[in-house]
Amino acid sequence: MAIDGNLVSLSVLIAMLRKCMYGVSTYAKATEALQVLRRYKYDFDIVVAAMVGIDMDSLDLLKIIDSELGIPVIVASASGDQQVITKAIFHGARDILKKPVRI
Amino acid sequence: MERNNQLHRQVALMRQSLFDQGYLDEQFVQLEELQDDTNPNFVEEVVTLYYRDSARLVASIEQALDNRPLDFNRLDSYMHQFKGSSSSIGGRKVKAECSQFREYCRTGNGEGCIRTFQQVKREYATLRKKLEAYFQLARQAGPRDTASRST
Repeated sequence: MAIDGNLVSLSVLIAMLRKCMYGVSTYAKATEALQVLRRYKYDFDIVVAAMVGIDMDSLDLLKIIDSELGIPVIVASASGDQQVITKAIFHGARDILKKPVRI
Repeated sequence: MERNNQLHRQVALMRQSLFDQGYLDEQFVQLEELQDDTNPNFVEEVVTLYYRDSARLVASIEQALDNRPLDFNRLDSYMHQFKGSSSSIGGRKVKAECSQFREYCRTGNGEGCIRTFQQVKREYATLRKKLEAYFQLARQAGPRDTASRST
């Protein structure tokens, strides 16, 4: 599942995941994505989420997906800030991708 | 046959100059690599999406710049989006101007923001024009063997 409020970077992310042979569901809003994840949690292998612009605090999103649902989350951030990265890992991110995402 | 080869050469040269002159960076190559038989018009589709997204953001920023006092958080948030989408398609110069704008937001420099926004718009317009010309020429030239590319 890919979550990103920026439609341009979301499109690129989708294409990359598909190229890696993943089936992809996409959401620009984290709240919608969460609803789907909660209902269909066994259908999703991983979640790739942008840190900003997803209508919910990304760290809260991370915590919920990681602790409640146990699905690995990879976070995509435009910021190279070490603090941002550390916080994300602390809240359960399995990995961080720097935006713009490369395949 | 010869004319077609010539067109392909022109397309290649045009593409190379976009990189050489700093309008595009390696992210654009990433987009090209994602284009294949299952996704034959990917690059142009994403760029078109970028134009639509940008039009919306530019209008929002313009409106926000008309308000007094300036809401730097809001301006920064819009520009963060604009920078994000510009960098997703490899728009190097646009991205740089966006960064400058955000720097002025950070320091609360209203004049700087207004001035830099003109640069952002100018670079965006230039990039758009060049990309439109590029895609048009590429369409004229038609499909080609994409085995080798270099920037």
